[in-house]
Amino acid sequence: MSDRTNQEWLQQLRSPSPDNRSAIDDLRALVVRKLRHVLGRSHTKHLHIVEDIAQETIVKTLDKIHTFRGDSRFTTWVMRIAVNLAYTELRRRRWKDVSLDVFPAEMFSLDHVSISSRRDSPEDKAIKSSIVETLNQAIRTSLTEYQRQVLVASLNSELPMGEVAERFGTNRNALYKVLHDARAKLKDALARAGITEDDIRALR
Amino acid sequence: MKRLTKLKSRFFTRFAEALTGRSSSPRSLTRDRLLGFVNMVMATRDDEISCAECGEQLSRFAELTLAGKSANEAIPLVKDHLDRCAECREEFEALLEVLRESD
Repeated sequence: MSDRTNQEWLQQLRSPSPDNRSAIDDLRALVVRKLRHVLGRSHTKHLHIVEDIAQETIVKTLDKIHTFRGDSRFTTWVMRIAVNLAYTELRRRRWKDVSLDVFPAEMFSLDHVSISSRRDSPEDKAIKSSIVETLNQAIRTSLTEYQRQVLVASLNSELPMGEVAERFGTNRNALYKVLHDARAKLKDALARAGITEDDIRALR
Repeated sequence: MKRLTKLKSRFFTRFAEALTGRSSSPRSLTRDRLLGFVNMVMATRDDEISCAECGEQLSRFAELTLAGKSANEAIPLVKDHLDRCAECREEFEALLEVLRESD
């Protein structure tokens, strides 16, 4: 079934012919079997999504086939797509009833979260309050409104990133970039405030 | 009335948090999460890759990993992304499981 070479898979999937049909069917059967195996370990309740995910995988594979770089087995590349689609769907189902709190900028503050502990020396206390103050300030003044909303919402939520993204009408990849840019700005702010990596490492 | 109860319970939660330095509510921002976040901020790099870029290289990364080759050294930015992104990590583990099962 999967003993085709990468070349054979590509050729048969790309050219419309009777062979093409059987390559698609074989690929779908492979995806179904592999997904059943992996979901069978911990998601037995959701095995019924496998057929739909396999179909979606075939559509996406044919759509993206020109981006396959040939640096792995073709079937591994396809299974990466299948696993991504399956786990995205599993998370969607798991979290569908959980809403996301979006905090208005003026209400935002980290002050209610105490990161100090009773064992802290006066120096530790000073560094910690400086960190929180710097972050508060930077979140309010250095981030864009969108960066602030995404950052604060995800910080306050138990939702996985992909689910946060969906509630913002975007996807996990775009959300990752937004959060990365926000983190970079906050890192700059901490550096400007003279807070070093050693200070952070010493936090307990 | 319900609202008042909710407000009250929130007040007592905060009060308990203030006393213990810990939060009992998993949905609010806890001390551990904030510390984790501060660490993430500090670990920010300019060359981080996104989930999509990680995904594009994940099949090769997974095959190298299973072959016992040093995937982390060959594709360090994928390893870096997997350390940061719980969802990509979960999908990577699942892909390894798929590949471990013989055809």
